[in-house]
Amino acid sequence: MRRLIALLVLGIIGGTLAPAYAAEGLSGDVSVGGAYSGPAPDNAKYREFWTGMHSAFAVMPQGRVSWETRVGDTPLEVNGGLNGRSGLEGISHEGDAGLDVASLGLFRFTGSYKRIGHSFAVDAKSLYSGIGTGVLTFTDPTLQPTMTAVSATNYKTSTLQKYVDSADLVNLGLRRDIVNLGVEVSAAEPLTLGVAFMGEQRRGSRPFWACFGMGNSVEIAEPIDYDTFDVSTNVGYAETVPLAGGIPVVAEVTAAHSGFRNNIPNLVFGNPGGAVSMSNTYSGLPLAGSVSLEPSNAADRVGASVSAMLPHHVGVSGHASVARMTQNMVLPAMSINPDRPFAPPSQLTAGMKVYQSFYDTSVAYSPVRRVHVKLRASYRQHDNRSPSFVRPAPWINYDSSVSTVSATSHAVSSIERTYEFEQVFDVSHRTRITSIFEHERASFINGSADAMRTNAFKLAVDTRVADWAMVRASGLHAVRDSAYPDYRLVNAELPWERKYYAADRDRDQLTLMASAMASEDLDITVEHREGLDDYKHSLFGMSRDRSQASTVDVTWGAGDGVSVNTFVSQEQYVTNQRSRQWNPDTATAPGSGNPYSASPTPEDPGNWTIESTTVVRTIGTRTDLQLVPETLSMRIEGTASVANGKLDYESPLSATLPLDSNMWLPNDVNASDETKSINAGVSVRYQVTKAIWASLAYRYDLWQIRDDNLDGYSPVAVNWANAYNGMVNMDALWKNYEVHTVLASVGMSF
Amino acid sequence: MTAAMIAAVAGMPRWAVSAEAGAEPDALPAAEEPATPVATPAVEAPKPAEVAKPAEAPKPAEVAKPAEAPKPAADARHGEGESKAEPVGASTCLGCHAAREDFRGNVHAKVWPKVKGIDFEHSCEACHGNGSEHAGAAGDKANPGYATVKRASEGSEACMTCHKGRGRMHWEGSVHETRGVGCTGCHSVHSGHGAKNLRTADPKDVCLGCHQNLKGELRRQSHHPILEGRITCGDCHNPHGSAGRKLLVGDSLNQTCFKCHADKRGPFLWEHRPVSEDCTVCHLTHGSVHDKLLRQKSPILCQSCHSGSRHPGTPNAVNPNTPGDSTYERLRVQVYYRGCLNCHPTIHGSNHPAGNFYLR
Repeated sequence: MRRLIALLVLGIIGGTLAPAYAAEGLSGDVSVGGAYSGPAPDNAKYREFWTGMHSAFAVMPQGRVSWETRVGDTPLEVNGGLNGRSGLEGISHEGDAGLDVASLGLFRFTGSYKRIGHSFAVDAKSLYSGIGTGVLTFTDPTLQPTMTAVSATNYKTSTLQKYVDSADLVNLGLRRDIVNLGVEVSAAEPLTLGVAFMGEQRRGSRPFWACFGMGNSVEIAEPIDYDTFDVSTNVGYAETVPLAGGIPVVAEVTAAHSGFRNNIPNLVFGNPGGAVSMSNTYSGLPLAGSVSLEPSNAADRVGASVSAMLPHHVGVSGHASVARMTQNMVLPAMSINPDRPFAPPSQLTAGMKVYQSFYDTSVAYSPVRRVHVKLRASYRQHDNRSPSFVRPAPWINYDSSVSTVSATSHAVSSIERTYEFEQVFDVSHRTRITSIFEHERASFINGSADAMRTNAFKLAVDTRVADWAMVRASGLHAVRDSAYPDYRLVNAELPWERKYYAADRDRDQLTLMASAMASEDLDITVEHREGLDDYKHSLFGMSRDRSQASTVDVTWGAGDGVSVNTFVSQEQYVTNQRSRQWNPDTATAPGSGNPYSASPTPEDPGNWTIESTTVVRTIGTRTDLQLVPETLSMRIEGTASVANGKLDYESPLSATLPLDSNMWLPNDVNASDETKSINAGVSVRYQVTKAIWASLAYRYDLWQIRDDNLDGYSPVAVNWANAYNGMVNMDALWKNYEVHTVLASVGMSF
Repeated sequence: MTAAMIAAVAGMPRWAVSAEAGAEPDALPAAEEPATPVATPAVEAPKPAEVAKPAEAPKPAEVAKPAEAPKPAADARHGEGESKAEPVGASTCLGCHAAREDFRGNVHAKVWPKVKGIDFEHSCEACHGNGSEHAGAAGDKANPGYATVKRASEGSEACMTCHKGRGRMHWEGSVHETRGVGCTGCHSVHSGHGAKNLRTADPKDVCLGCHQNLKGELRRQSHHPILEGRITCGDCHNPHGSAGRKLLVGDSLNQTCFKCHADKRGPFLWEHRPVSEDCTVCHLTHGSVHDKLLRQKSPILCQSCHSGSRHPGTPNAVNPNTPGDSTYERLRVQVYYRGCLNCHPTIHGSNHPAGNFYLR
């Protein structure tokens, strides 16, 4: 309450004093508002970006001040702003404040602070205490001994459910506090100098899964304790150099450093399933597990760009940058269980080093009027010089069982070369044709493919069919050929499966757009897009990806202070995949790696396809009305979006295999989901005097999700026999909400 | 698509179409302003005292030599637009374009005297070129002199004579430049909003005016908080051109993502290949109907690459004959809740010695 009073007092003082300074170049506005929302604003999805109300009541101070003055004959501008939202619960304040001091042509200083957040879950069920730290222990110390003592799976379910029912309810979310500082100096033109700093703290927690082995996983709160800071500087030069009659040259050199520190790089958590024996099997579960979180890292980058307009209408530009990303965290222990034997790995620190370089050059030339051509070439290298990490057997997985299969990391490196030729032809003063041919070659070390080559042709026609209308049509045809390795030899992956981002692909895209000023006050735009990715040689994996999207947008100035903007869009996305269970090559059964010649047979139910369809329909509208000119205005706005998803599985049935012999066998079955979102509101603003205004608003928000796969969902997952399946979550999925909000505010301009 | 965008296509004059609702038209020739009498400038030009408040009159030291006014680069191209016109001064321009009086409050008019040595009287012709022939045409479009001034749609090169460098290094040849989206497609030089003189008060509305498909995408259930004002289009894209693709501010897509998601930068001890190659292999950038901006829901997304042996190769639908009271009881653990991420939480990469399957 003290904070509320302070804000109100600040607003009143600011509003009172501000007019006194108006004559001295001060201008701006201040406002303060309050809001009530209900019936249930405590919903993580509603609060996701902290834009929704954080409590039933909230205070929202806002202010913006500009001051223009002169120091000698030098103009000086000072701009400040404050945008805050204060929940009375005292935990959910957000906002931003900025200061901008500039004498354009001499310098500009900018500084800002903002606090933003992200909510993940409200009232999540947590069995743990220590949230926000690196060690999660059970709030109830009897949980683990009790669960360990329970052997019957059915009884494990009911026992764990009791603990979950009485679990702590916690909010999971993070808060970002960000400071930006920047100085640009242009007093010495043509030389300019810029320095920028960004510092950010992220604090909070988010839902995260932890695993104790096959089918034994628990959702926990991952601590977020990040510090990030970026520093960059640039020196620019822009001048016409006295060569060949004057050549405009622009050049810039930049250097940047970014550091990221995770103050909690590892997390230890108790096992709610209870511990049994520590035997060398998957069933041997530990009392606690451990996981590594995102490692602290650093990145440095130096870059230079130059462009010049040479004689004969030739524009050239070049860009070069080199970057380095490093990460050298001390690796966590193989296991927190000291009695598990393991062989020491090859290194105790990460020692990761990646060097990146990027060179790009282009030449733009206009040989004759109406014709422009551009040649562009770029070279991009991602050079991972990290040492291979060798983890010899035996090693410990899941902090429990011991594995005898060694592993070695393989750093991914790549080189990508791109060549582009673009031609723009102004056929007439109304029509422009643009064609682009692009050739790209990429090679990889330890990549998903060994090499890829892509040829793409783009064509666009922009034409003004009348003074009041234009049509834009563009198309793309691209063919990607990939040198794909035989992964079954190294990773036991399905032969002829292709990872879609590295597979042979034919891509076709078409976009049609028409825009017309149907009348002086009516602006209509229609757009339709079609896309097809055909993974023509992918016998397994994604085979097709089709998309369609249509949008109609209408802006209407209805006269007498009435303006309307409405848009409608429909999108459809369809992907097709094919897969199958498969027995990989083994030393004792060579040749079984052929999924068509070896068991299981092609008719096996493990041979399956899926078609995934998503249809999204969105409509939005906004109407502004000047009910009484310059005195009373109203805005009515709303958007609604419905997304329907469907997963359609099919599998050929074996004549010898009964339908229910495999409980996971699909036989032309569907799973659907629907997400619905509605936001609507109306606001009225009354200009009390020339300087003072008041507004009243109402807002309606709804979000609903229905998913077949969540039918009967509960935090303690059970199988069809009502037996504990080894998984417990925090009940942290998005939940439906419906919220009504009333807002009122008053403000003053000066 | 705004009227300014329509106008921008193929060099179409901005004034050839009506102004967008709420936007101030740029450089309307006299004939397009019916309320303004068309007459010889000498007759219609207001007296200087009527135009400028005495307090705002430029100080002698600030008055520039007309010869110092930046010359639009377009003049040099193929002899296009070369003119023998003489300067006439802003007071003559305002005789017909009275609405442009508000330019006195524009950042250009404020800054030019000190920075460029251009006083208000010479400010119109600093960008539009010398106006004597245009003024002499007195609004008659048929008069060859009428078209001798530079219009907004031709303004990019005029703007770039001053606004070079600092993020506009790669303007020449950028997709906006070659597709005819000039400076005035997004900025209203005379009376825009905010420090950047944008055509709309909300910066994202400038982008969404053309990129209409994003209006729907940004309203999907999972989206970057652009509509909420937490980030802007400009945080990821440089509309003035970049060396990278898609006008991204970073040299690569991943570099752009790492600006905010530095925690995913690694490099990790155990890399997940698509992560180091391209974030968009799994994530959409603007909006998705699936959580975490994923292209598809898990496990379908994961199975599009991992569908060989053991559980990745198992279809994860409910068989109608499977016993159980609810779908949830009949599904496998790989489909429950967050799908594959139930057991593979460190999917972006792991720094754990035992993390090669992203389980730890």
